[in-house]
Amino acid sequence: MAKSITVKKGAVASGSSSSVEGGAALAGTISRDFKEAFRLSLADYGKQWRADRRLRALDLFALALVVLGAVQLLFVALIRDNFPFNAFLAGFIVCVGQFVLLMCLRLQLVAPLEGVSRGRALGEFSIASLVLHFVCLHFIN
Amino acid sequence: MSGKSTSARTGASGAQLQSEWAAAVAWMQTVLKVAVFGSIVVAAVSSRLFAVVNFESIIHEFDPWFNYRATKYLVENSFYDFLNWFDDRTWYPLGRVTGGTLYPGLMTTSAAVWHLLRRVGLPVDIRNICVMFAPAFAGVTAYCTYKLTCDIKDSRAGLLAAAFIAIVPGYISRSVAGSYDNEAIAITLLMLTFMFWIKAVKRGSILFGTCAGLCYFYMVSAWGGYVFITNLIPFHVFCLLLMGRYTAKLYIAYNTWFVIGTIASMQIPFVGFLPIKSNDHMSALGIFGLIQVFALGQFIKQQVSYKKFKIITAVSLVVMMVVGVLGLFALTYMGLIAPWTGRFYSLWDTNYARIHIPIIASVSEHQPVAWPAFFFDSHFLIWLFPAGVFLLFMDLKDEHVFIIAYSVLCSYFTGVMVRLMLTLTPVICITAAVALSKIFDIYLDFSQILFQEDNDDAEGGKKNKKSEGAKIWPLVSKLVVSGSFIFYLYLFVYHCTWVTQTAYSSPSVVLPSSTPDGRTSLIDDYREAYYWLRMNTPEDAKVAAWWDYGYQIGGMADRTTLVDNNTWNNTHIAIVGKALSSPEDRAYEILKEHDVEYVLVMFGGLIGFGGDDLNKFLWMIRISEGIWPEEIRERDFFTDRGEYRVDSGATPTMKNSIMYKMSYHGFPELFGGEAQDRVRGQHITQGDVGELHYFEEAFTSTNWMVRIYKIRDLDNEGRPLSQVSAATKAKSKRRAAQRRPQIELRV
Amino acid sequence: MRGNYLYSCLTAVVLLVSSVLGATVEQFAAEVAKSGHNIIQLTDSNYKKWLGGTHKVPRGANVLALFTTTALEFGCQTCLKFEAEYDALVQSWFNDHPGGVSKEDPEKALFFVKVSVMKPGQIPNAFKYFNLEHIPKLLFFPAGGRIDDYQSLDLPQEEGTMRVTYLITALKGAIGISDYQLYVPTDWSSIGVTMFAVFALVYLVRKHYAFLGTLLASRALWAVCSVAFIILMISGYMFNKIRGVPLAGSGPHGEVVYILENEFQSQYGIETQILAVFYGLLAALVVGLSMGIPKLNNYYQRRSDGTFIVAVASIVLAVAVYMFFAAYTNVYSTKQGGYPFKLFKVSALF
Repeated sequence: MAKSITVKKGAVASGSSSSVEGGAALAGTISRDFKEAFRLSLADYGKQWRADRRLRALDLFALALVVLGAVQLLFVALIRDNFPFNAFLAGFIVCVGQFVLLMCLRLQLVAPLEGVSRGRALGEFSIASLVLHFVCLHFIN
Repeated sequence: MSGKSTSARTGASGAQLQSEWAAAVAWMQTVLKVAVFGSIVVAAVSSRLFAVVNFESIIHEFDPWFNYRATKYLVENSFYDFLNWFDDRTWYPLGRVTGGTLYPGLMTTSAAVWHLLRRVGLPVDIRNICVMFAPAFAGVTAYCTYKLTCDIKDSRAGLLAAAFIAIVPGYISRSVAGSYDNEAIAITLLMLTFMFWIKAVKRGSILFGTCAGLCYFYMVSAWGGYVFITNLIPFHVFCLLLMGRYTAKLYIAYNTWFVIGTIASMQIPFVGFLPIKSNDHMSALGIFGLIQVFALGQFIKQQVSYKKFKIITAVSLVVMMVVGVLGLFALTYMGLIAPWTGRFYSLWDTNYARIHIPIIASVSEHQPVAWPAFFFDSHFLIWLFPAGVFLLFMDLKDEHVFIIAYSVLCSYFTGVMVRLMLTLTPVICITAAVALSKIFDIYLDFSQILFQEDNDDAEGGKKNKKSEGAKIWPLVSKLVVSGSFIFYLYLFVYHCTWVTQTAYSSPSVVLPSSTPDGRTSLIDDYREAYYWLRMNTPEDAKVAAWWDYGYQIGGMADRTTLVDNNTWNNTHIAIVGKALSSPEDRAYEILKEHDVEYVLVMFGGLIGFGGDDLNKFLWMIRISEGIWPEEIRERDFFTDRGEYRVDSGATPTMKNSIMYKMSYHGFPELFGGEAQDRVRGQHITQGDVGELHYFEEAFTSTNWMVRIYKIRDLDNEGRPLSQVSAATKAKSKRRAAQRRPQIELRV
Repeated sequence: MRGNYLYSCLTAVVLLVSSVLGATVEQFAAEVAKSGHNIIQLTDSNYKKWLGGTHKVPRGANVLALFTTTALEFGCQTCLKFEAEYDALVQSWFNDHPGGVSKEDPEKALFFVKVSVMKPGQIPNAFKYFNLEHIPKLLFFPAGGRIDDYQSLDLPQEEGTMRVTYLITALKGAIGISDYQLYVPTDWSSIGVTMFAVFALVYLVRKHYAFLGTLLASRALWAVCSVAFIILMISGYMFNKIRGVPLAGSGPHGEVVYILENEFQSQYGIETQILAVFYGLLAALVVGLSMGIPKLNNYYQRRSDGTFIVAVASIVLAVAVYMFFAAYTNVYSTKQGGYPFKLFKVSALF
């Protein structure tokens, strides 16, 4: 979840502070709240990051996917043409999909659900990823 | 339905005996379950075979004929040929990109079954596979419903639900043998998808989410009604989020389903990029975004205090809502997202279809439902249905929310559109099974009474007198309650069998009828006429007929049609409607422009068949009036008093239309100058029916239900056709005695 | 004597001629001004004057005539609904054209008349003259014609503003003008009621915020609401809504008929209510059997006659289920004649 948190958080914070400019004091408290939440979450995340090496690898992979997705989006925006639309779509969706699947796996690794052990979660994750990649590969043509 | 008695005798002897006893009971239960299940499947299949027993192994109705034709094409050619199939034998002269405009799930499945059976060494005719397809899948549906209901309540309710869905008429209506339609497989897949979805939500397993996604893909490939799932699952998630029931399980289930389901559904050529463009799919996308935000919120919630979290949530919610709504508007405005498609829109604004799209309004499947249909299709389940929903509310688990959302949404949709009765039926079965099994849990459980007896024996006959009454009364009341409900079940079976037999087993290609002396006979005019077409016309002849018969002409007569039941081109349909409602000379021009050689009309006036072309005529007029309001006017076909008449009081426009002339051509002469139209109950006299100059009668079936006319070629002497026909008529005398059908009265 | 005779003859002829002479625009305008609300009411004595015309003196203006009735004895729903719409049609015209004359083309004028049946049995002569058998009926009399030059205007199916708009379009086409537009009279009462309701709602929400919260979170409320919704839907509410069926019908002797017999695919509005009661009761009984009885059992566990009470209660509920189901199947068998699985009615015993 890590990287997406920081990205989205920035957007939300800036948006909200601009929208409630009417009451300066209110805006002040709100922005303070946001800052605090941001700081605490980051701290907690840092703890997770240091504690488990597997999570670190997983997060790096997720980050790479976000970057990859962003690059594709940027590329399409820059050349102003999405001609092989299905190719772009497949590329982009595989990034998003893999990212989301990683998040699912991460949730299960941090706090294993009842009836789904860590090992099983990893196995299920690999099956889902394989399916996803197969479908996207097929879609790319 | 067993399984309650295990706990009864616990206090007996040693632990070993107990465990052996428990194992024996468990084994018995399994055997019983399998036996019950076997009989359910047998019942499901056999009750769908009425059509085959009463008639023969034949494909039914209209759409199945196309599916059958497509399956044959798929079996004869490769899968890729099938996907790229351009059909030049329909929608002449446009043709139809069939491969890209159909849902291939059904054909692919039956072709796969065909190949599999051949591998195993059972070469079965593809037609028989198509005929038996729906009953076989009904058995699978029963199993999926069982599994789904097990997750909702327990295996007792599951077995009941499976038994219900196996024989309930609401589902049989679309899955009798020979009804080889998309719905036959779609309901199975619907249940399968929901089963995996419930499992995924309950367990939080990525695997089940993936399975749900793959089943969803299968469903998309099989039926246009998949949009229902696309909206129901997000709606379920949305309800859960609103109820504050976000969990990691929900996150996992929804995300895996959405990601895999969406990308997979885009593989179907007909669906293409719709999942990211049309508004029908936007709710799923929106919930996908929302659940990410919820996950993020959950993470923050663990860190900060409750009060601060509330402020943060409120502010972020407002901002996101504003941005989201603006974004949606902007995208729709810029044309990046397709507007709501018409068929879906007609569900919400019930007047939309009636005003804007006559072709949708003309299809009887899009009509609202009057109440008797509900009882007819589900007997006493219909009043257990609300009770079951209420009971589900009482222990409102996540999966119960799903069933409730399904019930509420689908009951509304069914009220608007009779076709969706099919999707409502499974949930009626599930909820009714829940309600009934709750009742049986209480009133079929005699263990307490038996147990009490043991206790009393141990205590000695102390309170014998009191226990006597305490034993009898519960027993009586339990017997009465459970007995009455078992009686309803018994009645239900009879009702279902009766409905299936009388209403849903007619192939509507062959019609049953009974003669005055009570024998049943079959009216086989359709096949007779199509066979005539196949044998007596050139192979590339173009046949004009109203779109209802397009698939049948393509499937049975193998001739090129102008329009068919795939109503993709309204204008083209309107052309045929215009030709049929125009006077002869005008119609001749239109039909000649489209190279038509034969015109086929249905006429039920002789035997009283209500679904003929003259009864559908108003829709033809309306549809063509929608395109050419100044040439065709509905008003002209009604008398001054606003009546739809076909006898001597009919308007000149009506009498001049070729539909009128072709339907009644030679009809009064058959009865000596004046004949009664049995459908409309009006008398047609010889003077009413004008001569046909440009068309000549080519074929009329035994009971006059199908009449085929040939368009005359231009005269080689250059005379106008009206003169030609007068000349030929003078030369050759009319057939003096028309073939008059033997059977007088038919029911 | 002879002169007298001639004189009376002449008078008669003059009278006759004057009665069928076409009225001029000025006469129309004067009459409209006199009548006060822009519609000229026609009677047996004057209908030929306003609708008529001769070769020499044809009708001076276009006239739209409405044949209708507001008498309740006829029970003409469409007439009553159309009454207000016709008013809107008329007022929209005079709003822009106080004199009834088009601004584009001063030669073209339009006036409105109305013939109403007041009582059954007193059919105005105009109805007989034009051979009318169905009302409401709109006849359009173009300017420059005689009494027999008219055309019938179809009354569109849609109701309300839509119908008025369609009629305006039709009239514009028939007269050949374009300056005719619809003014919908502002319905202040409706706006007032809406605003009041909104204010009241906001006030209540603010005042009872906490209560509203518990109400919204109340499971029982949601349960009852969803079940009620489902029951409405399965008893054919949407059918009434879409088809706009009448609430009930009348039989051959004028008696009220509640159930449309032997019509499987159709129903009256009231059938939905009857069915909703059936479903509601049956569902309540089933819920009572599966939830109420165990609760009763717990409650009476200590009492010595507890088992008896519980047993009797459950038997009563089961019998009630049977009775209602039997009644239901009997109602159903009126809809579908020859339905073979009717339950035996308990009430038939008595």
